[in-house]
This record gives sequence, structure tokens and C-alpha cells, in this order.
Amino acid sequence: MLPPSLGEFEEMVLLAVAAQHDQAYGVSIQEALEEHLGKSINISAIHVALKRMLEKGLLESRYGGITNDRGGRRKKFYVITIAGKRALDRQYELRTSLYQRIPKITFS
Amino acid sequence: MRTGPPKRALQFLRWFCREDYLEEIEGDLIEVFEKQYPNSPRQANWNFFWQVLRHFRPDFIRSFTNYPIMDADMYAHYLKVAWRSLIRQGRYTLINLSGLTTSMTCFLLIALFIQYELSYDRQHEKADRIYRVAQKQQGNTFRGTDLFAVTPAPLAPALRENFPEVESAVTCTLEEHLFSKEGEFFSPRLLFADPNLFDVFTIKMLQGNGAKALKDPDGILLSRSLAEKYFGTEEPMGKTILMDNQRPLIVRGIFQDMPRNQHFTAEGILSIRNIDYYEDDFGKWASNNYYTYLALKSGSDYHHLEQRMHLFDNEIAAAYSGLPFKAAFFLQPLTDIHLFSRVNVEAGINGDNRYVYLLGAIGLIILLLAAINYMNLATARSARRIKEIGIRKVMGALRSQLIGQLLGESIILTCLSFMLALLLAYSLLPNFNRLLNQAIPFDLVGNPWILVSLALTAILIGGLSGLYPAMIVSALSPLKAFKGKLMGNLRQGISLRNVLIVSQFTAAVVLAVGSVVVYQQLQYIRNKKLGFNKEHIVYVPFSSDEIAHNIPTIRNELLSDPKIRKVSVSTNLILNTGNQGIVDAWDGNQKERNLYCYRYFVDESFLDLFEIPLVAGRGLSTAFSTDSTGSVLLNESAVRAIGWTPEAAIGKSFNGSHVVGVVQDFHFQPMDQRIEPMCIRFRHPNNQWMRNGYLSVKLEADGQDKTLNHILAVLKKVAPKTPFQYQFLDQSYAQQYDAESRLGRAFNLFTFLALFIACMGLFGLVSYQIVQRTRELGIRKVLGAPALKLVTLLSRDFVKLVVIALVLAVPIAWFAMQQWLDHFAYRIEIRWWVFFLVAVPALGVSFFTVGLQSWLAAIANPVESLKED
Repeated sequence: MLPPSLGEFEEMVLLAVAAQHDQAYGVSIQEALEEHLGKSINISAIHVALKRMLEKGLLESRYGGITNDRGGRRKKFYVITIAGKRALDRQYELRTSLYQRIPKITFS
Repeated sequence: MRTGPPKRALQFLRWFCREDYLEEIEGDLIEVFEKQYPNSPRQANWNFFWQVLRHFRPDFIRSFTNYPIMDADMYAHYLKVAWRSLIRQGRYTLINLSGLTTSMTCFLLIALFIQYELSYDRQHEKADRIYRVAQKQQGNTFRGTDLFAVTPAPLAPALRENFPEVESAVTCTLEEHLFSKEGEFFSPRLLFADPNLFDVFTIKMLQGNGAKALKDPDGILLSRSLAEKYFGTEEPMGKTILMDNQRPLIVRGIFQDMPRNQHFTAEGILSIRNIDYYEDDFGKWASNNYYTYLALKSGSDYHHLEQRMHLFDNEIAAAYSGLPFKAAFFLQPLTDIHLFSRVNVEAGINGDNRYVYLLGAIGLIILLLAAINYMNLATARSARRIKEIGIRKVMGALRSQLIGQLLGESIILTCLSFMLALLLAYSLLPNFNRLLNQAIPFDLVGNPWILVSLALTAILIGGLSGLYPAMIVSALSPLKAFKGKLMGNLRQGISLRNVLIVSQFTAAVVLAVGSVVVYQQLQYIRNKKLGFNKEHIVYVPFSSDEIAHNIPTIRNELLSDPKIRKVSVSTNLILNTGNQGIVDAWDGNQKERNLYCYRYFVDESFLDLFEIPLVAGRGLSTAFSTDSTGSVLLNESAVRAIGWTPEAAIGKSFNGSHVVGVVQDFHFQPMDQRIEPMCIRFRHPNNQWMRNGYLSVKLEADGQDKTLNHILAVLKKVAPKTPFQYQFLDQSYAQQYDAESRLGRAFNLFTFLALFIACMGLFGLVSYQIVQRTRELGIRKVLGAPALKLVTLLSRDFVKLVVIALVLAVPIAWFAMQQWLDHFAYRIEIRWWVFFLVAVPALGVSFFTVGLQSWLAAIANPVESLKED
């Protein structure tokens, strides 16, 4: 079976989820990405990416407890799965191996 | 203060969002909102809206089919319940289904018929801006109208020249001509036209260029089927064919057969210069021998053009000088000609919008009857399901759901019968076509709107007829439902049911009276004393010099057969005269008064052969030398119109001749026309030839086959190149009323169906009521009521309704049929016993329907009905 494909934005979201191990949810991911990328990100885009990766089996989710914040709505936390980790690794390897083929050229 | 996010947006989100994602998305959005709110409430609000909208995408939208309380299981359940109730109450289902199917089949057939009638002439590209020029010759009433479809030859060129909005105009005429091939004869209808024909009408050319071919008087265009008939598989283009055995024509093109739904059709087209009299008529404004059609530029108003056609008044006045009437042109939209044009000299047999309306009304009535049946039965029947409804209510079913369920059932039933009706209509259409002598195609696919609108009608009927019972039943409180107390609520239902039954029977009875009256009128016409004897007469139309010059020979040869009693020649068929003139000179009148007088030219045996009696004077004969020049016979109407008595008329001068005799009035026109003045003149067979005319032969009643062969053999010997067709006079007479008698038959059929449907409704209701009252009947029987009394008890109400319906129907039917009869000049009076003729069987059938079932219920053993609980 072919490994599930991973879009660029999905990869960023997946990285953020992995980085915030066990504490990643919609808004926290949005904040992390906005901070790193330096541009505003739409939360619906994050939700779409999360749902898709959930379907592909790259993520797992669980509900947090009820708090007074968020109008009493529970947070949904996301955790990366083994498949997700593998996908990230593969993506990383692919990039490094390609990167290493760049001849040593200096751009002056 | 803590403020929540905008409510509307949140509601919207909750409405569309998938349940399993909702909490997370809502939470995240609210968190973002709360973070932003302290800084800028406005922006937070807007952002929230925006974010909600951004989530409105397929990934998050829930599946609306899986509505939690109306999921697939629920529908399956409804279907199952519907099916069970249909099966369990099989008899009612059958009544409903057959009633609905019958009526929808009728409706479909009628709709197809109407659609076909409306489709006439619409296949031309410019159909909506083509007009025929017709004229009104005020005062010149001929066969009941002073409108004529024919126009003079110079009209079309003048229209093209004088009015810029006329895109094109064509002069044309239709004639039948003879073609022969190896002893086989065809006499196709030919269209003689100028080359503008192709700028006005859309005639699809398969080979050759039509407009170019018409410029050449020696060319002809053939329809594909005529070309095949004539040339078979050979290539027809460029071949020569002989018209009337003398005129060679070169085939210059083949056009696609004209569809039957055109107000005229032709199998060949050739240049108008082939018409013998065209050259003479050229430029003459009195030459009313042609049809003129014009195409207007799109966007122009034809009324406007009509008014400006007074431009030709001077030419017309000059052409009609000396005549007591004048012509005025008017325009008829092409697509109206078939149904609305009632003028003289039509190019073909037209339809009649009144029949279209009538059939349409009948179709609607039948549909309505079946819908009423359904409504009545469904309301009555719903009592049986009252417990089911009660339980549903207790279980929390909403009223809208109950209505939906019941409505759904009736819509399913109507859709089912719609399908059945489609099948039935498809298989019955050939018969229907034969009945009406039409070629209606089963054209539902080609015309999507008709199928869609019919399906919508079906659903609407289902909806409307199901709505009332659904409303009544779903409004019940569950408590009452369990007690089975439907009656309090249904009293209203009963009175409405009564109204419906009464109206149903009224409609059926009106239709029945109508069909009896139509039948009587047609019989009356068929058997009315015509004033001449039409039995055992064969006539042969001819148009040939060979025949005209040899009449004495033909007569002698024919009379040598002992089975032939009389032979006569006349210019017109006695059934249908075509020749009318104005007479303004007779004894005591010099041009002060005008008499429109039909003219016949006959030989000496005419009166004898047709057994037309003389009221005064003598007949025409070769024995009087003056008869061929100076004698005339008048009919009684002419004598009356002048103001003479028959006896006084003899010897008076009339239009330069002397009246020698007066004949009794006889019908020489269809029965919707009065007998009008006519004069009969003599043509001497030896020297006054009639090139066009009719040879009439009176036969003995027996051995006619052999005699007919003898007649044909004689004619063949005299005129070997001309084909002859003989016809029986009485059959031709019946054909004149063909449309009416076909309509009568269709009317009878639909009336019968309407009565049938009405009776089925009654049957259903009675049997339902008996089931309801089984226990009551049982108790009555136990207490000693005789069976007959029970029958009376059960049937009284229903029979009362039928009687009310009869009383209502009488004036309606009387009025409607008077209207119809008024357009006959000779008509029956509606007799009182006609109503009895209809009422007695109607009452009988309904009494039988009610009585039989009541009787069965009344003689049943009361133990059976009482032993349950």
C-alpha cells in the first residue's frame, strides 16, 4: 500500500501536533503555526487538515475535560500516531536526500 | 461582562455541522472569539461570522439524509405500513387504483390529443410570424360565413412592395393532379407556389434547391414518399414525369414528407405558372383563386399591418364595381388556422377549438371524479387507522410527520396509477387514434414539458386528495383516537363527503345527458328527410373532356345493363354545392334587391334520379327546345325569398330566363346550414358540355358488385387514360358528419367511464359504511328488524344524494346542450324523457350498488357480527 500523501500545509500541522505532544488542539496549533510562519492562519484550514489526517490514520484524537473556558466546550486533543511519525520521517528524509544532492555552489 | 459569540452564527454552525465535529469546532471558534473580544468586540464578532462561514464546506456539513428522527428506517417503516394497509384493505385499494388509473389514462389520452391539435403548423421556423391573408366579403354569405381564405393574385407582390415589415409573401394554391406509372394512377395534392414559398415556410429539402427549382416552370419537387412511389429505388433527380398524361416536368428536388399536423399538406411542389388561369389572373384584384401567406419581420404587429391594408381599397373597389359587396383583407396567424379558422375555401380540413375545449373539460372532470373518490374513501377509511395514528401520537410523532406519512401514501398510490396509466395510454393510443381518425404520436419524450406537467398533475392530485383526510386524522387527540370516537370529528367530514358525492354524480349525469342528446341529434341528421333519395346511388366525379363529350354514349351503354335504373349528370354533387351567384333581376325587381342563389346545372334525369318532387310546373327536358337557353327551376326557398307562391312563380322571368317549375326544398348543404335559395338550369347533353361534374347512377338494390364493374368498364372504354373512383352517395353523406359522430363516440366512451368511476366511489363508500355498522345491524336483527328494513336504512341516505344530484344535473345539462344544438340549423328539441332515460339507469345502478351490499349485510347471520369482543 502506498503511504498516505502529505500536503505541505498538512505537514506543517502534523509537525505542530508532534511538537506539542499530547497538548495539541485547534487553537494551540493555529497559534504555534502563526508564530512560526509569521502570518495569520485560518482555523477552518487547520480543522480540515486535522480531519483529513485523522482519516488517513496519521493522527489520533481524544476529548479533554470540561472547563469554564470556551463556553464549556471540551477541547479535542490530537496525538501523532506511528504512521504519522513515519510519514514525517519519510518527508524529512526525502528532503534531506534531495537537499544533499545540491552541488556546492556559492551564490555570490 | 462576558458576552457570547453571535447567536445567529452559532445557530447556523449547529445546523449544518456534523455532530461529531461540532463540539471541537464550536469550542475552538469560541476560544478564538474570547481571545479577541477584549481587544475589539466588533472584529471578534465579524471574525466569528467569517470563521463559521469558512467552516461551511463539505468536510464539516452533516449528512442531511440521516435526519435523526426521519432516518431511512423510518421511511422503510412508512412504506411497510403503507403497503400493509393497501393490502389489508384490498377492495378499497382496487377501487382507488382502478379509478385513478382509468381517469388518468383518459386524461393522458385527451392531453395527447390536445397537444397534437395545438401543435399544428408549429414546425415552421417562422411559425409565430407567418400569417395567412383572408378576406371578408360583407354580405356575400356563402355556406354560413362571409369570410374567405382565398385572395387575388396581385396581393402578395403588392404586400412585398408596400410594407417594409413584410419579410416575404407567397402566392400559392393547391390542386390534385394525375400521375401514372405503368397503369397505376396517383392523384397527389400539389402545391403551386412562387419561389418565395421557401422564404415563408420551412420545407426541408433532402435533395436539390427548392427556391431555385420553383423559378423554372418545368421543374417539380416531390415528397420523398411520392418519389419512392413513383421511382422506387431509382434516383429521381433530373427524371421527367408526366402530369395529367401531357405536361412533362423535371424532378428538381426531393423534400421531406410534410407532417400531418399542418393545415394543408402537399406531396409535390411546382411553379404557380403551371396553373392555367394564373396568367389571366395576373394583376387582377378580383381573381380570388389563391392563398397568400406572409412572414412578418420579427417584432412587427400584425394588427398594425391589417389596418394599413386599406391601401388596396381603390383597386378592390374597381374590381368589385357592380357587385353589391366589397372585400376587406385581414390576417390569420398561421398557428391559429387549424383550430380557429372557420372560413370558406379552406386549404384542408380543419380542427375545431370547441371540440378541443370540450374534450379537455371532460378529461378534467374525469380526473376530478377519481380524485373525489379517493378523498371520500381515504377519509372514511382513515377511521380504521385511527388506533395506529393514536399510538404514533403517543410515541411522539409530530403532526407534520403524520400528515407527511398519509400524504406520502396517497402520492405513492397516484404515482403508481400514473405509471399504469402511462402504460395503458401507450397501448390504447392506436385505438384512440382510430376512434378519432387522427395520427397522434405518443410524444411524451419529444416534449418533456407534457410529461413533467402530467406527472406534476398526478402528484398534485395525489397531494390534494390525500391532504384532506390527512388533516382530519392527524388533528385528532390521541385520547379520542383510542376511544374510537371519530364520529364527532367526522360529522363535518360526512357533510363534505355528501357534497362531493352529489357533485360527482351531477357531473356524470350531465355527461350522460349530453351523450344521449348528441346521439339523438346525430341520428336525427342521419335520418332527416333530405328531400331526395340517397339510397343505391353511385357517383363518379369527373374532370375530363372525353367524358363530357360522350355523355350520351355513356348513358346509353350504362342503361343497357338492366340493373342500372337511371343515369344523370350534374355540375355539382347534390350533397354539397359549391356554386353561388347573385341574381338581381326578376319579375317585379330591377336591381333593387339581390338574391344570393346557389346554381345547379343538370340534365333531364336529375330530378327523376334523385326523386326530387316538383311543387309546381314541370321539369327540364330535351323535349322543350327553349330549356337549354331560357328555362330555370327554382326551389321553394328561392320562391319564398322573392315573395311568390310556387304556382304564381311559373312563367315569371328570373335572371333572363323563365321559371318553368318549382322543386320542393331539399338539403344540398350540411345540416348545420339552412336550405337556401337555389336555381336549377339545364345543360343539353349533346352540345352543352360540362367538363367538370358528377355522373350519378341509380342502381338496383341487388347485384351491385357486377354493376359497378360494368360502370367502370364503360368509362374505361370511353376515357381510357383517366382513372375513376366511384363512391356511394349515402356513404359520402355519412362522411360529412364523420367528425361529429366520432366525437359522439369519444363522448360516449368518456361518459361511460365517468359514470363507472362515480359508481365505484359510491360502492366503496357504502361498503365502508356497512363494515362500520356491522354491529349495529347485528343488534337490530337480533331485536327483530326485517332484512328489507335494514336495506332501506342503509341505502336511504345514498339514494337521497343521487336524487339531489339528478335534480341539480337537469338544468345544467339542459342549458349546455341547448348551446350545442344552437349551431345546427336543423336540430332536435330536448325532450323531458331524455332526462328520465338517463336518470332511471343512474338511479338503478346506484340503487343496485347500494342495495346489493346492504342486502348482503342484512341477511348475514347476526352471530357473525356480534361474536367479536
